[in-house]
Amino acid sequence: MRPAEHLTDERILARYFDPSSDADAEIHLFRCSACAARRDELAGALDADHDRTVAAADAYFSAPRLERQRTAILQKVAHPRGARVLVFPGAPAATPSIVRTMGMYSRWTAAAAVLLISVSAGTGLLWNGPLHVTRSSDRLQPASVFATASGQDQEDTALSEIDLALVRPQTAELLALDALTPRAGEQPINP
Amino acid sequence: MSTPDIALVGSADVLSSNARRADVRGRVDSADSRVARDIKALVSAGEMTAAHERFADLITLHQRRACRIAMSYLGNAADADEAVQDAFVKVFQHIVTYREDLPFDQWFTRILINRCIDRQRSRARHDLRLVPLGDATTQAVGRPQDSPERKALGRQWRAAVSTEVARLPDRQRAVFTLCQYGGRSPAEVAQVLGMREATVRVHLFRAVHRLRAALEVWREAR
Repeated sequence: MRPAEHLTDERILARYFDPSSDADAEIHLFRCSACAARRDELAGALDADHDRTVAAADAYFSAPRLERQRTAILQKVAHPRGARVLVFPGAPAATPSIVRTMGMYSRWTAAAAVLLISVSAGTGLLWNGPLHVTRSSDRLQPASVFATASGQDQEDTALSEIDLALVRPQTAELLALDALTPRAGEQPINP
Repeated sequence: MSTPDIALVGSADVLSSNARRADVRGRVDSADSRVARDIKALVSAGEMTAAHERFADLITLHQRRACRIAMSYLGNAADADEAVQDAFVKVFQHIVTYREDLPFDQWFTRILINRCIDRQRSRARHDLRLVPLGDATTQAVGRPQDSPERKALGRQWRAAVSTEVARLPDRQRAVFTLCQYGGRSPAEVAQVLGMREATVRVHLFRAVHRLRAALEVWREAR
Protein backbone atom coordinates (compact mmCIF):
# COMPACT_ATOMS: atom_id res chain seq x y z
CA MET A 1 0.00 0.00 0.00
CA ARG A 2 1.47 3.34 -1.03
CA PRO A 3 -0.01 6.67 0.02
CA ALA A 4 -0.53 9.25 -2.69
CA GLU A 5 1.55 11.97 -1.03
CA HIS A 6 4.99 11.41 0.44
CA LEU A 7 6.32 13.03 3.57
CA THR A 8 8.41 16.15 3.22
CA ASP A 9 12.02 16.16 4.38
CA GLU A 10 11.04 18.54 7.18
CA ARG A 11 8.54 16.08 8.63
CA ILE A 12 10.96 13.18 8.39
CA LEU A 13 13.62 15.24 10.13
CA ALA A 14 11.23 16.46 12.82
CA ARG A 15 10.16 12.89 13.44
CA TYR A 16 13.81 11.82 13.76
CA PHE A 17 14.62 14.43 16.39
CA ASP A 18 11.35 14.03 18.27
CA PRO A 19 9.93 10.51 17.91
CA SER A 20 6.94 11.39 20.08
CA SER A 21 5.71 14.01 17.62
CA ASP A 22 3.60 13.70 14.48
CA ALA A 23 1.85 10.36 14.86
CA ASP A 24 0.46 10.70 11.35
CA ALA A 25 3.97 10.71 9.96
CA GLU A 26 4.73 7.51 11.84
CA ILE A 27 1.69 5.82 10.34
CA HIS A 28 2.76 6.99 6.90
CA LEU A 29 6.30 5.70 7.40
CA PHE A 30 4.90 2.33 8.39
CA ARG A 31 2.95 2.09 5.13
CA CYS A 32 5.25 3.82 2.63
CA SER A 33 8.49 2.02 1.85
CA ALA A 34 9.88 4.95 -0.16
CA CYS A 35 9.53 7.37 2.76
CA ALA A 36 10.81 4.73 5.17
CA ALA A 37 13.90 4.36 3.00
CA ARG A 38 14.45 8.13 3.02
CA ARG A 39 14.03 8.14 6.80
CA ASP A 40 16.53 5.28 7.18
CA GLU A 41 19.03 7.05 4.97
CA LEU A 42 18.81 10.27 6.98
CA ALA A 43 18.80 8.46 10.31
CA GLY A 44 21.84 6.38 9.32
CA ALA A 45 23.89 9.44 8.45
CA LEU A 46 22.84 11.40 11.54
CA ASP A 47 23.30 8.43 13.86
CA ALA A 48 26.79 7.81 12.52
CA ASP A 49 27.65 11.49 12.92
CA HIS A 50 26.30 11.53 16.48
CA ASP A 51 28.13 8.38 17.51
CA ARG A 52 31.48 9.44 16.14
CA THR A 53 31.29 13.00 17.41
CA VAL A 54 30.29 11.93 20.89
CA ALA A 55 32.98 9.24 20.89
CA ALA A 56 35.58 11.83 19.87
CA ALA A 57 34.50 14.23 22.63
CA ASP A 58 34.41 11.48 25.26
CA ALA A 59 37.82 10.23 24.19
CA TYR A 60 39.36 13.68 24.59
CA PHE A 61 37.53 14.50 27.82
CA SER A 62 38.68 11.38 29.63
CA ALA A 63 37.94 10.79 33.30
CA PRO A 64 41.27 12.29 34.51
CA ARG A 65 40.77 15.33 32.27
CA LEU A 66 37.26 15.82 33.59
CA GLU A 67 38.61 15.57 37.12
CA ARG A 68 41.20 18.25 36.37
CA GLN A 69 38.54 20.40 34.79
CA ARG A 70 36.32 20.02 37.86
CA THR A 71 39.21 20.93 40.15
CA ALA A 72 40.01 23.99 38.05
CA ILE A 73 36.38 25.14 38.14
CA LEU A 74 36.16 24.73 41.90
CA GLN A 75 39.42 26.63 42.38
CA LYS A 76 38.18 29.47 40.17
CA VAL A 77 34.96 29.57 42.15
CA ALA A 78 36.84 29.59 45.45
CA HIS A 79 39.22 32.34 44.28
CA PRO A 80 37.17 34.62 42.07
CA ARG A 81 39.13 36.99 39.90
CA GLY A 82 38.66 40.53 41.06
CA ALA A 83 38.11 43.35 38.65
CA ARG A 84 41.38 44.98 37.58
CA VAL A 85 41.67 48.72 37.33
CA LEU A 86 43.98 49.73 34.54
CA VAL A 87 46.11 52.76 35.22
CA PHE A 88 45.51 55.60 32.80
CA PRO A 89 48.86 57.25 32.11
CA GLY A 90 47.58 60.78 32.36
CA ALA A 91 45.99 60.46 35.81
CA PRO A 92 48.64 59.39 38.29
CA ALA A 93 46.93 61.02 41.26
CA ALA A 94 43.85 58.86 40.95
CA THR A 95 45.78 55.61 40.72
CA PRO A 96 44.98 53.29 43.62
CA SER A 97 48.37 51.66 43.34
CA ILE A 98 49.87 50.13 46.42
CA VAL A 99 53.27 51.26 45.20
CA ARG A 100 52.29 54.93 45.47
CA THR A 101 51.12 54.55 49.02
CA MET A 102 54.31 52.83 49.93
CA GLY A 103 56.41 55.75 48.71
CA MET A 104 60.11 56.01 48.16
CA TYR A 105 60.98 54.55 51.54
CA SER A 106 59.49 51.23 50.54
CA ARG A 107 61.34 51.28 47.25
CA TRP A 108 64.66 51.38 49.06
CA THR A 109 63.46 48.57 51.30
CA ALA A 110 62.50 46.54 48.26
CA ALA A 111 65.84 47.19 46.61
CA ALA A 112 67.62 46.06 49.77
CA ALA A 113 65.52 42.91 49.87
CA VAL A 114 66.40 42.03 46.27
CA LEU A 115 70.07 42.66 47.00
CA LEU A 116 69.89 40.41 50.05
CA ILE A 117 68.25 37.64 48.06
CA SER A 118 70.90 37.91 45.34
CA VAL A 119 73.75 37.74 47.82
CA SER A 120 72.14 34.77 49.57
CA ALA A 121 71.71 32.92 46.31
CA GLY A 122 75.33 33.57 45.34
CA THR A 123 76.57 32.43 48.71
CA GLY A 124 74.52 29.26 48.43
CA LEU A 125 76.03 28.44 45.06
CA LEU A 126 79.56 28.89 46.39
CA TRP A 127 78.84 26.85 49.50
CA ASN A 128 77.46 23.96 47.47
CA GLY A 129 80.57 23.71 45.35
CA PRO A 130 81.03 24.12 41.61
CA LEU A 131 78.15 24.07 39.25
CA HIS A 132 77.04 20.69 37.99
CA VAL A 133 78.65 19.89 34.68
CA THR A 134 76.19 18.50 32.24
CA ARG A 135 77.25 15.32 30.52
CA SER A 136 76.26 14.67 26.98
CA SER A 137 73.88 11.94 28.12
CA ASP A 138 72.17 14.36 30.49
CA ARG A 139 71.33 16.83 27.81
CA LEU A 140 67.74 17.36 27.04
CA GLN A 141 66.48 15.29 24.21
CA PRO A 142 64.77 17.12 21.38
CA ALA A 143 61.08 17.52 22.06
CA SER A 144 58.98 14.90 20.42
CA VAL A 145 56.87 16.09 17.55
CA PHE A 146 53.96 14.18 18.96
CA ALA A 147 53.02 15.15 22.49
CA THR A 148 52.41 12.17 24.71
CA ALA A 149 49.34 11.87 26.87
CA SER A 150 51.37 12.41 30.05
CA GLY A 151 53.06 15.41 28.46
CA GLN A 152 49.70 16.90 27.65
CA ASP A 153 48.54 16.24 31.19
CA GLN A 154 51.59 18.00 32.60
CA GLU A 155 51.04 20.87 30.24
CA ASP A 156 47.41 21.12 31.29
CA THR A 157 48.40 21.07 34.94
CA ALA A 158 51.05 23.75 34.41
CA LEU A 159 48.60 25.95 32.52
CA SER A 160 46.02 25.49 35.26
CA GLU A 161 48.58 26.53 37.88
CA ILE A 162 49.54 29.60 35.88
CA ASP A 163 45.91 30.48 35.45
CA LEU A 164 45.28 30.15 39.16
CA ALA A 165 48.34 32.23 39.97
CA LEU A 166 46.97 34.98 37.76
CA VAL A 167 43.61 34.74 39.46
CA ARG A 168 45.02 35.13 42.95
CA PRO A 169 45.49 38.57 44.44
CA GLN A 170 48.97 39.98 44.22
CA THR A 171 51.31 37.91 46.29
CA ALA A 172 53.53 39.57 48.87
CA GLU A 173 56.68 37.98 47.45
CA LEU A 174 56.27 39.78 44.16
CA LEU A 175 55.57 43.18 45.65
CA ALA A 176 59.26 43.89 46.13
CA LEU A 177 60.02 43.31 42.46
CA ASP A 178 56.87 45.14 41.43
CA ALA A 179 57.97 48.15 43.43
CA LEU A 180 61.10 48.46 41.31
CA THR A 181 59.15 48.58 38.07
CA PRO A 182 58.85 52.15 36.78
CA ARG A 183 55.34 53.29 35.98
CA ALA A 184 54.62 55.25 32.85
CA GLY A 185 52.54 57.78 34.73
CA GLU A 186 55.37 58.53 37.16
CA GLN A 187 57.97 59.33 34.53
CA PRO A 188 58.51 62.97 33.62
CA ILE A 189 57.39 63.80 30.14
CA ASN A 190 60.24 65.28 28.13
CA PRO A 191 59.09 67.07 25.03
CA MET B 1 22.83 20.28 53.99
CA SER B 2 21.05 17.39 52.36
CA THR B 3 23.11 14.53 51.05
CA PRO B 4 23.22 13.84 47.33
CA ASP B 5 20.42 11.45 46.46
CA ILE B 6 21.43 11.07 42.88
CA ALA B 7 23.58 8.74 40.90
CA LEU B 8 26.45 10.77 39.58
CA VAL B 9 27.78 8.09 37.27
CA GLY B 10 26.44 8.34 33.73
CA SER B 11 25.07 11.73 34.58
CA ALA B 12 24.24 12.76 31.02
CA ASP B 13 21.89 9.81 30.66
CA VAL B 14 20.37 10.48 34.05
CA LEU B 15 19.63 14.02 33.00
CA SER B 16 18.23 13.18 29.62
CA SER B 17 15.70 10.80 31.15
CA ASN B 18 15.00 13.01 34.12
CA ALA B 19 11.33 13.72 34.54
CA ARG B 20 10.54 17.43 34.49
CA ARG B 21 7.95 17.22 37.22
CA ALA B 22 7.08 20.08 39.51
CA ASP B 23 6.87 19.70 43.27
CA VAL B 24 4.07 21.06 45.44
CA ARG B 25 5.69 24.50 45.48
CA GLY B 26 5.88 24.69 41.70
CA ARG B 27 9.61 24.02 41.63
CA VAL B 28 11.19 21.70 39.09
CA ASP B 29 11.74 18.31 40.68
CA SER B 30 14.76 17.05 38.77
CA ALA B 31 17.99 15.90 40.36
CA ASP B 32 20.13 18.78 39.13
CA SER B 33 17.48 21.36 39.93
CA ARG B 34 17.34 20.10 43.51
CA VAL B 35 21.12 20.39 43.81
CA ALA B 36 20.99 23.89 42.33
CA ARG B 37 18.36 24.91 44.89
CA ASP B 38 20.58 23.56 47.67
CA ILE B 39 23.52 25.60 46.41
CA LYS B 40 21.40 28.71 46.11
CA ALA B 41 20.21 28.30 49.68
CA LEU B 42 23.74 27.68 50.96
CA VAL B 43 25.16 30.70 49.14
CA SER B 44 22.33 32.87 50.41
CA ALA B 45 23.08 31.67 53.93
CA GLY B 46 26.78 32.42 53.49
CA GLU B 47 27.81 28.78 53.88
CA MET B 48 30.32 28.91 51.06
CA THR B 49 32.31 25.79 51.93
CA ALA B 50 29.19 23.65 51.87
CA ALA B 51 28.07 25.38 48.68
CA HIS B 52 31.35 24.53 46.98
CA GLU B 53 31.01 20.89 47.99
CA ARG B 54 27.50 20.74 46.61
CA PHE B 55 28.59 22.56 43.48
CA ALA B 56 31.07 19.74 42.80
CA ASP B 57 28.06 17.40 42.58
CA LEU B 58 26.36 19.71 40.12
CA ILE B 59 29.48 19.86 37.96
CA THR B 60 29.65 16.08 37.89
CA LEU B 61 26.06 15.87 36.73
CA HIS B 62 26.47 18.18 33.75
CA GLN B 63 30.16 18.04 32.92
CA ARG B 64 30.28 15.33 30.27
CA ARG B 65 27.26 16.50 28.35
CA ALA B 66 28.53 20.08 28.51
CA CYS B 67 31.87 19.00 27.08
CA ARG B 68 30.16 17.15 24.23
CA ILE B 69 28.04 20.16 23.37
CA ALA B 70 30.91 22.65 23.61
CA MET B 71 33.29 20.50 21.61
CA SER B 72 30.80 19.84 18.84
CA TYR B 73 29.84 23.52 18.78
CA LEU B 74 33.37 24.90 18.77
CA GLY B 75 35.16 22.03 17.01
CA ASN B 76 38.13 22.70 19.24
CA ALA B 77 38.94 20.84 22.43
CA ALA B 78 40.88 23.62 24.17
CA ASP B 79 38.16 26.19 23.51
CA ALA B 80 35.51 23.71 24.60
CA ASP B 81 37.32 23.16 27.88
CA GLU B 82 37.49 26.90 28.52
CA ALA B 83 33.87 27.44 27.56
CA VAL B 84 32.69 24.72 29.92
CA GLN B 85 34.78 26.12 32.77
CA ASP B 86 33.50 29.63 32.11
CA ALA B 87 29.91 28.40 32.05
CA PHE B 88 30.21 26.64 35.40
CA VAL B 89 31.91 29.62 37.00
CA LYS B 90 29.13 31.88 35.70
CA VAL B 91 26.55 29.53 37.14
CA PHE B 92 28.06 29.71 40.59
CA GLN B 93 28.53 33.47 40.45
CA HIS B 94 24.87 33.95 39.54
CA ILE B 95 23.30 31.03 41.40
CA VAL B 96 21.25 33.35 43.60
CA THR B 97 19.39 34.48 40.48
CA TYR B 98 18.46 30.92 39.52
CA ARG B 99 14.68 30.64 39.04
CA GLU B 100 13.49 27.55 40.85
CA ASP B 101 10.41 27.15 38.66
CA LEU B 102 12.61 26.43 35.63
CA PRO B 103 14.77 23.35 35.02
CA PHE B 104 18.37 23.97 35.96
CA ASP B 105 19.70 22.28 32.82
CA GLN B 106 17.72 24.73 30.70
CA TRP B 107 19.38 27.66 32.45
CA PHE B 108 22.80 26.06 32.37
CA THR B 109 22.59 25.11 28.69
CA ARG B 110 21.68 28.65 27.77
CA ILE B 111 24.71 29.94 29.68
CA LEU B 112 26.91 27.32 28.03
CA ILE B 113 25.75 28.18 24.52
CA ASN B 114 26.34 31.87 25.22
CA ARG B 115 29.85 31.11 26.40
CA CYS B 116 30.45 29.04 23.26
CA ILE B 117 29.22 31.88 21.06
CA ASP B 118 31.44 34.37 22.91
CA ARG B 119 34.46 32.13 22.58
CA GLN B 120 33.75 31.47 18.93
CA ARG B 121 33.62 35.20 18.21
CA SER B 122 36.74 35.80 20.24
CA ARG B 123 38.54 33.07 18.34
CA ALA B 124 37.38 34.47 15.05
CA ARG B 125 38.85 37.82 16.04
CA HIS B 126 42.17 36.39 17.04
CA ASP B 127 42.16 33.50 14.57
CA LEU B 128 43.48 31.12 17.18
CA ARG B 129 42.93 27.49 16.45
CA LEU B 130 45.01 25.75 19.07
CA VAL B 131 43.84 22.17 18.91
CA PRO B 132 41.52 21.45 16.01
CA LEU B 133 39.05 18.66 16.66
CA GLY B 134 40.59 16.46 14.02
CA ASP B 135 44.03 16.70 15.61
CA ALA B 136 42.88 16.42 19.20
CA THR B 137 40.98 13.22 18.58
CA THR B 138 42.95 11.59 15.84
CA GLN B 139 43.32 8.42 17.83
CA ALA B 140 39.78 8.43 19.04
CA VAL B 141 37.79 8.60 15.83
CA GLY B 142 36.90 5.11 14.78
CA ARG B 143 36.29 1.86 16.55
CA PRO B 144 39.11 -0.52 17.45
CA GLN B 145 37.85 -3.15 15.02
CA ASP B 146 37.81 -0.72 12.08
CA SER B 147 40.42 -1.09 9.36
CA PRO B 148 43.00 1.69 8.97
CA GLU B 149 41.31 2.79 5.76
CA ARG B 150 37.96 3.02 7.46
CA LYS B 151 39.45 4.95 10.38
CA ALA B 152 41.10 7.36 7.96
CA LEU B 153 37.82 7.81 6.16
CA GLY B 154 36.10 8.39 9.48
CA ARG B 155 38.59 11.11 10.37
CA GLN B 156 38.13 12.82 7.02
CA TRP B 157 34.40 12.62 7.38
CA ARG B 158 34.46 14.00 10.94
CA ALA B 159 36.67 16.85 9.81
CA ALA B 160 34.28 17.59 6.93
CA VAL B 161 31.25 17.64 9.21
CA SER B 162 33.09 19.70 11.81
CA THR B 163 34.08 22.24 9.16
CA GLU B 164 30.53 22.46 7.87
CA VAL B 165 29.13 22.86 11.39
CA ALA B 166 31.61 25.68 11.99
CA ARG B 167 30.27 27.46 8.91
CA LEU B 168 26.68 27.42 10.13
CA PRO B 169 25.20 30.68 11.41
CA ASP B 170 25.11 30.96 15.23
CA ARG B 171 21.47 30.02 15.69
CA GLN B 172 21.52 27.14 13.25
CA ARG B 173 24.64 25.81 14.86
CA ALA B 174 23.22 26.10 18.37
CA VAL B 175 20.00 24.37 17.37
CA PHE B 176 21.77 21.61 15.48
CA THR B 177 24.34 21.04 18.24
CA LEU B 178 21.75 20.78 20.99
CA CYS B 179 19.47 18.47 19.00
CA GLN B 180 22.12 16.29 17.42
CA TYR B 181 24.75 16.04 20.17
CA GLY B 182 22.95 17.34 23.25
CA GLY B 183 20.05 14.90 22.96
CA ARG B 184 17.41 17.64 23.07
CA SER B 185 14.09 17.68 21.29
CA PRO B 186 13.17 20.77 19.26
CA ALA B 187 10.66 21.71 21.98
CA GLU B 188 13.37 21.63 24.66
CA VAL B 189 15.76 23.60 22.48
CA ALA B 190 13.05 26.19 21.97
CA GLN B 191 12.86 26.68 25.74
CA VAL B 192 16.62 26.81 26.15
CA LEU B 193 17.21 29.34 23.38
CA GLY B 194 14.02 31.31 23.88
CA MET B 195 12.66 30.63 20.40
CA ARG B 196 9.40 29.32 19.06
CA GLU B 197 9.43 25.62 18.38
CA ALA B 198 8.55 26.22 14.72
CA THR B 199 11.58 28.49 14.42
CA VAL B 200 13.79 25.81 15.93
CA ARG B 201 12.52 23.31 13.38
CA VAL B 202 13.27 25.69 10.53
CA HIS B 203 16.81 26.28 11.81
CA LEU B 204 17.30 22.54 12.29
CA PHE B 205 16.10 21.71 8.80
CA ARG B 206 18.31 24.36 7.23
CA ALA B 207 21.32 23.16 9.20
CA VAL B 208 20.83 19.53 8.21
CA HIS B 209 20.23 20.58 4.62
CA ARG B 210 23.55 22.42 4.58
CA LEU B 211 25.34 19.52 6.26
CA ARG B 212 23.80 16.94 4.03
CA ALA B 213 26.59 16.96 1.48
CA ALA B 214 29.16 16.23 4.20
CA LEU B 215 26.94 13.57 5.72
CA GLU B 216 26.38 11.94 2.33
CA VAL B 217 30.11 11.29 1.92
CA TRP B 218 30.06 8.85 4.77
CA ARG B 219 26.87 7.15 3.65
CA GLU B 220 28.24 6.57 0.16
CA ALA B 221 31.52 5.25 1.51
CA ARG B 222 29.91 2.60 3.67
